[in-house]
Amino acid sequence: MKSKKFLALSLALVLILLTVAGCGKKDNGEVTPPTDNNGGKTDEAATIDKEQYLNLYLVAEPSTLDSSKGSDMYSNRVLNNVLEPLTRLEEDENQNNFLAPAGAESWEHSEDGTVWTFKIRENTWSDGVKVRAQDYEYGIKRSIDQDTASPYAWILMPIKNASKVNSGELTVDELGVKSLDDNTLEITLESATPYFEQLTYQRVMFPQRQDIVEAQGDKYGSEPDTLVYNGPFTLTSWVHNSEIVLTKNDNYWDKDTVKLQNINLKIISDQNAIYNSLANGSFDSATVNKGEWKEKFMKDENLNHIEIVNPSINFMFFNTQDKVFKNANIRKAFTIALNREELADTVFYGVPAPAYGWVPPSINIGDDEYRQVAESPIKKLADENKDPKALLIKGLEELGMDTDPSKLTVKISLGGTDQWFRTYGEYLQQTYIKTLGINFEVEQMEWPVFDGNVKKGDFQIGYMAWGADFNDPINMLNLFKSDAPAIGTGWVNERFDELITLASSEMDSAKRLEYFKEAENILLYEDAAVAPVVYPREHVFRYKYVHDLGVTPFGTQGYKYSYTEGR
Amino acid sequence: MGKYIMKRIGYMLLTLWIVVTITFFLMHSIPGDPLAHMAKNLPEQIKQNYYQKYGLDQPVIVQYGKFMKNLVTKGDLGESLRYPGRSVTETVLTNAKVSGRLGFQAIAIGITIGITLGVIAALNRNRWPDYLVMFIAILGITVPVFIIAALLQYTLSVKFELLPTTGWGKFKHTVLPTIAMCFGSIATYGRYMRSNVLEVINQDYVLTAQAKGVSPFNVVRKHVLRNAILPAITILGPQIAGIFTGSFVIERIFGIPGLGSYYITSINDRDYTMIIGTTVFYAALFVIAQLLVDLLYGVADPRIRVSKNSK
Repeated sequence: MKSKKFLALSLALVLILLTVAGCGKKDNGEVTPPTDNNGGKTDEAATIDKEQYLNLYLVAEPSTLDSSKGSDMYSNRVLNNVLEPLTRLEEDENQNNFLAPAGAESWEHSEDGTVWTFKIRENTWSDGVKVRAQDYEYGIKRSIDQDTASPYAWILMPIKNASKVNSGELTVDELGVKSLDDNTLEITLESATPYFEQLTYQRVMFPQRQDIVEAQGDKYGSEPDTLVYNGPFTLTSWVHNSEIVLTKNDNYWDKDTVKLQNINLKIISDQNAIYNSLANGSFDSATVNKGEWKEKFMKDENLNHIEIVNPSINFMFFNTQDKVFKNANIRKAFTIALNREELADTVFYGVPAPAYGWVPPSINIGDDEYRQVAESPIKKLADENKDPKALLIKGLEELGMDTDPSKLTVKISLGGTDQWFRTYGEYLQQTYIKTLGINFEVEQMEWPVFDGNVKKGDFQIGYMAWGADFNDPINMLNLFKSDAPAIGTGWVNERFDELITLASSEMDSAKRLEYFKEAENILLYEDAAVAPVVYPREHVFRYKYVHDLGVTPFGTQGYKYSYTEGR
Repeated sequence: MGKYIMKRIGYMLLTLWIVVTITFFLMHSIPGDPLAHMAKNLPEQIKQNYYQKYGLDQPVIVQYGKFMKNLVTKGDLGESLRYPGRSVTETVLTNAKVSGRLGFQAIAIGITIGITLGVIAALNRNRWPDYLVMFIAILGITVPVFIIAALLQYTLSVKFELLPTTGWGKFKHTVLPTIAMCFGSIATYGRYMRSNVLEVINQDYVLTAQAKGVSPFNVVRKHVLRNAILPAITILGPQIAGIFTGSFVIERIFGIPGLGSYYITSINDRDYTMIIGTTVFYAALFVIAQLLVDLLYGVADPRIRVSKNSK
């Protein structure tokens, strides 16, 4: 039914959670495991439940467990638990992410940041074969290989020759990835890449066994018995579109830490069915995004409530080539005329948070959350311009157009045809007619049509959602770089391009922060090419007996440390 | 008779070919492609590699030629684009079995109860059993299935915790979806049977039978039911096909791994091979069901048995 809304709204979710990324510690050697995993172990052992299992769910069927193919968050969720990436983005009790060693015991990089050496840990595949550095090498190479046609290979482009290998110019042997011996993996980069660590836990860098992949051919990853596992769990059953069962992997190097014996993942997309299942205890944890259910669960004493801000953003964007919106003051007027608090409360039922910056919360720079250390350009813009209508008139003057706003007609295009988009459009209409005194039209169309119009530049204002792929501000800000624009604003700014280029290879995070702040300021405050609306937020409800279950949007610790106590 | 069936099969193949061809060109003409479900502006090279791998860079007519060749020579519908490594044929058949089990349960219960209720209503015309049955029938037709399903789920599995909310595998998982699904058939068959029985009951042969002193039960069984059931068989055809294709809504609400969801999701995902696969499957079932229904007519009513010298 609500397929279009589902599509458009879940853009954010799907995109964001395609991958997971996080805030790494800068110096690998200093990474310390969280104390609660090892510290209280003996105490836990005395009180934790005898039967260790979790009943959880996935909203959609994972596309494939072939880590080189597919890119959906659902298969990522499973893959993170059944394979051992080089690193894991774990989380402490305050939901702060930190990069922890996993498949790699330790790693170091050359002084210029271009050569990374990973020491691969002693570990065994579920079929008893030793895990070798060559498995990681093969996994990366296969992801970038042109013949694999991996939709997610682009994220690995910082690796030396990756782009040429992917276009078929060079063979995979010339890729900057090689295993020096069974325990040492060396990766050479095109140039210093400050966020390279954030790529080491992405699915396209997961280990794969060449013999298994070649034996299975195209079937690899489509059924539980078509691949082997080296993560905390193995996939023991997969009834497509129905249920997945994960079972503790006794060959896993850190198996003493893993307490759960089984995790049952039901595949269910109906929201009410999920909430009903949480309510009667069939699920141990669920994400709740409906206002009325949220209220109900808030009152339930058996449930913990965890609020998560996703690293994604819903925003309006202007066609800067349009005869009206080529003027920055007009774009600014439209940006500040919105009351984001009210919008989040009414149209979105209070689920998301109002957005005053471009880089969403939960994205880090160095050890800090970017939003905590950067100001909010939209707030500054609104504080300095109390009257959006005056800005609009000023802009119209600059364009030499009729300065009577009531003679101006502006249209927003929405890539969704359902009721939610209608409500949203009506809200905007009402707001802009009231605050700016203009005529405001709303046009709804299916997502692919909308997408096509934007590419042709056939729109005035558009609305979209975008999620970060990995945990670094550059992942959100380079969307506006003029050589590879991802959002069809037609906006070009030389200084912005320069700042993004600088930040791409600068290893010092203090300097990068300055670049990002200036770039964000140009984008939102000076030029107002886009107007952020809200940061999507999620409400996770979880029975109190569930402990240490990964919850952060970027985090990849998954079910490894989780256990139940007092079920 | 044999010749008749052969001729019908010939028409069936022709119909299928037309359906496949139209679907093939239609689905390639809708905007978007299989990478659209990622909803991200992927770099050009990544897209090119993908199109090349799955042959999407070639003209649609070439793709059509390849597809038809594989279908006719190998019976192969190809590999799903959304779920790499899974064969469409296998996916369709596996999921159709699940849908089939549920659909069969629902339709068997639906027809039995529906026909019984319809007859009861007709025989008690304008008395309370009639009103009650028609009330149920109107509810069954007007209340959307997702509301019935949600109500059942909320009362029986959340409030009273009698049955599982979602899942598949055991008989208990099929109870709620079956009840939710059979409501529609009960209503449809109930109403059909009521009006048919009312029509038949005033026929001369029924009067004759009654006059001859045939017991009321036998009048209904031998004379009324057999004649009244004919029109009901007409609506059976599409329903038989529907048994295996499942219900998107029911499957979604109860988390059932049936075929229904693929009809919707494959289109949204632009999973071309899956769109064609599900369409071929439904079209084939539909034409086969139509043939079966036509043959069933003959069983139920000797008058319309295909005569040997009809042509």
